[in-house]
Amino acid sequence: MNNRLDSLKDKSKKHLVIYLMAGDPDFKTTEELIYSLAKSGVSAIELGVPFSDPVADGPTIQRSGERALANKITIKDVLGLVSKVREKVSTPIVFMLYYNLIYSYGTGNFVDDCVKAGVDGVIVPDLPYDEEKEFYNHSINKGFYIIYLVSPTNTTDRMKKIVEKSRGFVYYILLKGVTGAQKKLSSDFEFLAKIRKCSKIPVFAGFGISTPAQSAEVAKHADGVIIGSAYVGIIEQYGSKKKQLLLESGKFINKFLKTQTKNIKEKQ
Amino acid sequence: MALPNSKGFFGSYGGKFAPETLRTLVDDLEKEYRKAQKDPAFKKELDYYLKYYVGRPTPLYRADRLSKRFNNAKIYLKREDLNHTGAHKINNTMGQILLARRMGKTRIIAETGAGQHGVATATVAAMFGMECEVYMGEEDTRRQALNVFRMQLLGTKVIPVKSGTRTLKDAMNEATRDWLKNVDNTFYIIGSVAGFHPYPEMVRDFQSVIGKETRKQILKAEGKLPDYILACVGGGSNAMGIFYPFLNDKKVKLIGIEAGGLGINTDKHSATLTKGRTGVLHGSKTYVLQDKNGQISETHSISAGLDYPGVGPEHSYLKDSGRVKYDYVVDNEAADACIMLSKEEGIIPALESSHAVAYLEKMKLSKKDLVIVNISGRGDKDMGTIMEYVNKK
Repeated sequence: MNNRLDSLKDKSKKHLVIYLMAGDPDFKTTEELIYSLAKSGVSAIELGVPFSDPVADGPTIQRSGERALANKITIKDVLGLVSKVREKVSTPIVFMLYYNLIYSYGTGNFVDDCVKAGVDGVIVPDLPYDEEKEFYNHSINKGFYIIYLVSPTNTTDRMKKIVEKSRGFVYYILLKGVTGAQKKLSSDFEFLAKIRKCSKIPVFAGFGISTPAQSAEVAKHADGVIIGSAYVGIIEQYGSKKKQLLLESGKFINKFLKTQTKNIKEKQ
Repeated sequence: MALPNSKGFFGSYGGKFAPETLRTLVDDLEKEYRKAQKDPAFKKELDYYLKYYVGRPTPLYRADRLSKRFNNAKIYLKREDLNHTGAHKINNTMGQILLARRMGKTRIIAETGAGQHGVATATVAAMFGMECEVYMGEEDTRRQALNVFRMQLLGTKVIPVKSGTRTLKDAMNEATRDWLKNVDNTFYIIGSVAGFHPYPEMVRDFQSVIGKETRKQILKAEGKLPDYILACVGGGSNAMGIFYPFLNDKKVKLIGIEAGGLGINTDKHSATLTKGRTGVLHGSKTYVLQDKNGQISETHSISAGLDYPGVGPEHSYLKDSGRVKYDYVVDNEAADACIMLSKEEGIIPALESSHAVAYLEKMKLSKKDLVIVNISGRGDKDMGTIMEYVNKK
């Protein structure tokens, strides 16, 4: 059983993962953005499914979710979207959503339908690794990857258990708080180094990265970076002007990709 | 076996669905709570403040005119409205702030719907000289402007929440986000038997002082246990508090009354146990009002304190096990009951508690019935709403 997320094990580059909310500003634009992201060479796409009560998200992603909810986007819609883009796109795609949506859909059906549609894994910020065993076991059986998050506040003991259960990659939360671009990043890179030592799979860092310079700095310490709110901010800014949005999205991604490559060269 | 189990489950409900950033803190809180439970000094300190500051025990009052109105059934009222700050909420905030002090936390946050829990939190924070911020849905700050001012007067910063439906659930989301950011110095005082383990258990334990007193008082007054105990259920803390010490007395019928709003077949109600289905909200698996896709519903009740789409996980368990019966009354019935009790007994109950009072009308009581109604709070905060209701009538 091959999972597209296994491609992230490639250590020849620092990976860039981009988050966007399905259905913001509208469904058609999300589809076009996915094509353009895949083409630009990001390592994976994190696709948000909107939820009414996103406790781990800051204002930017909250607003994005509200716009998507106003478009009445459901899990079924987003699964349909992934099926469609899978005809052209082989970039790994993971869902990011809150557990009530999965529970309401039915955990077994959710995993099966994700695999069928070509979704490779899922990030659930309010689901700890040690709850909901059935969902976990079913995912393992179907080769569907649950990506768990590690926080700088976790004990080493718990961190080790999370890393052991995570598949595809480990998501390191760079800062205490919610998602959202920060002007300054003060992160516990020592803990990050410890996580990488324990982990057989890549460790990506996210939360708070807003500029290519910050991203490059973080990439020195991680296998890859995850950009969410900063990118969603572009979508918010140009949402209604589609052509310009695609243009600006492309520019944004290139800036991040460039510094990332440069960073690797410096290290070599 | 005592519930919850070690993982925080009441049957299949409860749990610790917390983001990892909060995990260590929640685990520490659980450890600290276990230590406090075994420490006689903690109990002594809590009892001291409950007696001399909160004003406990509260009376169990035999309501004769009310009894006469209901076919001479014997009806007692548990007067939680007589607590300092006017509701049962302070039983819990006092317990939690003592824990916060033991953990060395310097900053307190809370969420509030009607403002009663916010006021109770602001009060104990003032008393212990701790910094306090309370999150309140913007919609609720408007409906309960007086409580906003009370909190401010007590030195608390009230933060209006403008996300989502701008009510209690969104205030809880925002308080959680604050906690994620300020996890090092901050203690989150949750106001109901909701949230991740150990909150549902801990809040129940702090509130069960209501039921313990009631049990002693009724035995002393009547020489026997009651036939019925009625309490309103939003998140369900006053109900858990009075029910808990009676759970093993199988002959005592326990009834929790939810807010039927404009009717449970409309989309404007808060009757979670009556109309919801299992989901995960605010850290625990429990009954939740949600649409077919799992989006949390907007709720409605004439009483802001019951206006919540979730319910404490132990209530979900007690509903499924059949030990507690859950039913509902609608807005108008609650408002009428508030007016009725004011005229019959000279006690103006909170609109939340009025739901429990209103249920008396549905019970076909007779002379042989012994009933206790938990008056969880007083109605002063609701005068604007009642005035509007009376004028419309």
